[in-house]
Amino acid sequence: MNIIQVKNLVKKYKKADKNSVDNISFNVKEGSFFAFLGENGAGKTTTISILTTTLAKTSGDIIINKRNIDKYPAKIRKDIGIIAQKPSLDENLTGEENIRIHSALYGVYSFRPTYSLMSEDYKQKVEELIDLIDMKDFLHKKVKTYSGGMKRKLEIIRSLIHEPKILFLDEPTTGLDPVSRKSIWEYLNNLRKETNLTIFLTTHYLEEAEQADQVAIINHGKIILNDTPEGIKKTLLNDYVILTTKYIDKLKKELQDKKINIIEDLSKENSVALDINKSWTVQKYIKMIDTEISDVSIIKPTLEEAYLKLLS
Amino acid sequence: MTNQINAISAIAYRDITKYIKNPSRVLISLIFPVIFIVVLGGSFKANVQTPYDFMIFTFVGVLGQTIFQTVAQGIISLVQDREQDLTQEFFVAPIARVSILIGKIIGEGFVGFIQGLMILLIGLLIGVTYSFMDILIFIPIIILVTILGGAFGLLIISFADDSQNINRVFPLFIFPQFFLAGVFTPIKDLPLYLLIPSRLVPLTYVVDLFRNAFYRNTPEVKEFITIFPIWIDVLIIVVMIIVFMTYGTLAISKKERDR
Repeated sequence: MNIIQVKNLVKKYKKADKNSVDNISFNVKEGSFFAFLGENGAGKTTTISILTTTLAKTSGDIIINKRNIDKYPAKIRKDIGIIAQKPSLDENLTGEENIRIHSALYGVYSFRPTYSLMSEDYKQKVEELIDLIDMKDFLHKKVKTYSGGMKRKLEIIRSLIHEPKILFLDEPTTGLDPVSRKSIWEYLNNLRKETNLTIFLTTHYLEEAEQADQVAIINHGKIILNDTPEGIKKTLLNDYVILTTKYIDKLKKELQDKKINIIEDLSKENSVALDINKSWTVQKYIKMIDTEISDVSIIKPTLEEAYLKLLS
Repeated sequence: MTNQINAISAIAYRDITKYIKNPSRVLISLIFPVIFIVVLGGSFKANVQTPYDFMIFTFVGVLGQTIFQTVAQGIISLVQDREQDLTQEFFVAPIARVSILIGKIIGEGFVGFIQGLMILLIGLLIGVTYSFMDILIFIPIIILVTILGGAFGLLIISFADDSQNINRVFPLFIFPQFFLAGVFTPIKDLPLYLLIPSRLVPLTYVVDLFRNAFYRNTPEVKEFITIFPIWIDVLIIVVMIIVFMTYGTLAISKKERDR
């Protein structure tokens, strides 16, 4: 089932002369991990703001969890959790107070002015969530004292308190150190395994998108590719093989004589790179070449290489 | 409905906690009122002959002005919050926009209320005494004025887009009112070019309401100082609250989505 359906979405800001989002359509399957990839200003945040009902669209149809966004914005807001690009925590309040306010805003637990007056259910839930991110000691400390990674984690558990069906993450790990990024992703991946949560991620870190079930690449407001990471790589780049040898000149000459193309950009001092495709397999190359080869390695291009090729 | 009340209390709680947890802000916010009362009121008192105590006259004006301004300024912080994406959290929650604004007004209203009580305490230091009846009358007036301050804040936000803009514009909306509303000076008789703006600004009715209440036991002074009967002040304030809030809420909700 598609939990998000977007059809012909257009957004033109009042003061802009061009469409920021220009007639895009895509679907996201329930329980899947969808990555929205693009450069700054490509239209990622605009799209996410429209999907999360904080920004009015110019035209197009959007259905989220079987509900039309124009008719049921409040119900949709209840079904989604949002991690915005900039942290939306109140730094002058404690982590727990931030969570408590959130749970009152979403009508999950009745609001009481102190933690001890809150219901037992609430306390249990908070302790359970805070344990998951290993921040028990910080629960009652001001958010100001947290590190960047801790703030993000707190935001993530806060957004889960109302048990959303879809979690929107707008560049959640921008500006975080690699260790924090890794631990946030470990947590999110575990979460996906345990629940049927749909994750909608915008990012410009390609290795994050690499783990997605589906990647849509947006550029100048248009979706230019929408496929699995594997599919995108296949469309844009072939695998290639690197042959290493002590006799590089001899090998190059042999290849030239046999009319085999070398990928110059990827070749090095003592190795050559050759394209792999249906008609040119590794076996075929090996059979054809007589020069002594010391090493053969098959390289699968990363999403990053594919992406850079696409944008260049 | 329960959900909305829940949300309103949470939003109000946030502002109240932030105020209570920050004693330096509380003290700093008392500096200007004290300067106005003691320096401005005191120097007038020493140099100008009036049939009433001029420092106390200023004190009553400053009481109304401080409450009104504190709440209006607190509401303005909504725009700053919005930019820092703090209130993103509020705006994406499944609650009505009106609830956010009501919560904000209650929270900041509380701050204004405490501020008002502290000005009353400062009054004790300059020789003002209160009867039990005074307190009973002042409390509902303070509450009414906090609501007007909140409504006025909403009105201003609906005009300005970003916080830089609003911080420039806010003094223009507030300082002229100090003088037009007669916080420091009597404004019963004014030339026409001052009379019209003076009777249009909300603070005029706030200050007049407080003076009506404060001087109610000395009719000869009251007659000399106040502009309108108390019921007119209350009526105009209530009408302004309704108009400002309705317009402000509609304009803000619309602007929030139609960018």
